[in-house]
Amino acid sequence: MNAAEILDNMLGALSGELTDGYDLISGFAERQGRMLSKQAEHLAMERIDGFLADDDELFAFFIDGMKRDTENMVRSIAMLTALTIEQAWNAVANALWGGMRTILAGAGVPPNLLPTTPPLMA
Amino acid sequence: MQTLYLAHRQLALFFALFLFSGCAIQLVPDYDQALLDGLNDANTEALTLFAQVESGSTAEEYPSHARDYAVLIGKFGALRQRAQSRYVPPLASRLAEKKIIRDFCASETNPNGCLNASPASIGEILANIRRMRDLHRERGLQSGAVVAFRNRYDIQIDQALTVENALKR
Repeated sequence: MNAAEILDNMLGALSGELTDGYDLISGFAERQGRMLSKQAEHLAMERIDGFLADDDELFAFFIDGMKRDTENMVRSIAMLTALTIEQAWNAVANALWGGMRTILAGAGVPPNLLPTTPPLMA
Repeated sequence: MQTLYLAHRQLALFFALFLFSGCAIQLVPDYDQALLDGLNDANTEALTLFAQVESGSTAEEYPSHARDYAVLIGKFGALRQRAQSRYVPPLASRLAEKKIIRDFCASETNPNGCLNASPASIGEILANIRRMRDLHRERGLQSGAVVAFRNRYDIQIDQALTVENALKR
């Protein structure tokens, strides 16, 4: 294994993780957006001629709730983004570590001195 | 030219080695199978309750549902505690202290809001079910009200389940 192969492995791993992460996050955001829109539409209809027509306190509860649900959606997206960054980083670290192990093993370093996974950064 | 190309590649590899030091990182908590199982279990019970009252339910009928509400509130409360008290990796905690993240993500109850998002979502599930219970007990539930509570619940449980499922890595 040479430097070019290690780099190719790293880029391939990175690309895979970023694609998976993007698919997860975009699917989640689209689903949440659809559900929030559905709720907004329902609240508007109920406010005009439904159980919320004469109930300001309950209407405020649902409107405030939508705001908090939206904030939590954004926090969830931030967490999924952090997870994607973690997985992308680790995919690169694993590919790099694998290449280093191959090179070092080829140079005669005993396998028991080469951990199979990279150390965790504390 | 070929030599220059190879030199560039080797230089890039050297910097990659230097930058990454071959270290893995952890930014979000570990996967918790028990938490996910608990969410799936409580979700089934919540959807059953919504199905029971989807055509509306009077205040007189509330006593026959009181236990269902109590069980749901107890289950989601326990799940929220479990999610809230889990181990957040040190690197993530240090990241959460950065001003840009702290200002946006932190809440009074959860300083790691963007790195452990489920407690806030489960907390909103609890607030939603409690409000629905109180309305049911005091005035009964019209079908439109059930839809509004159900819509909120769907948003919140989707957040918690998506995040917890994603942690299985």
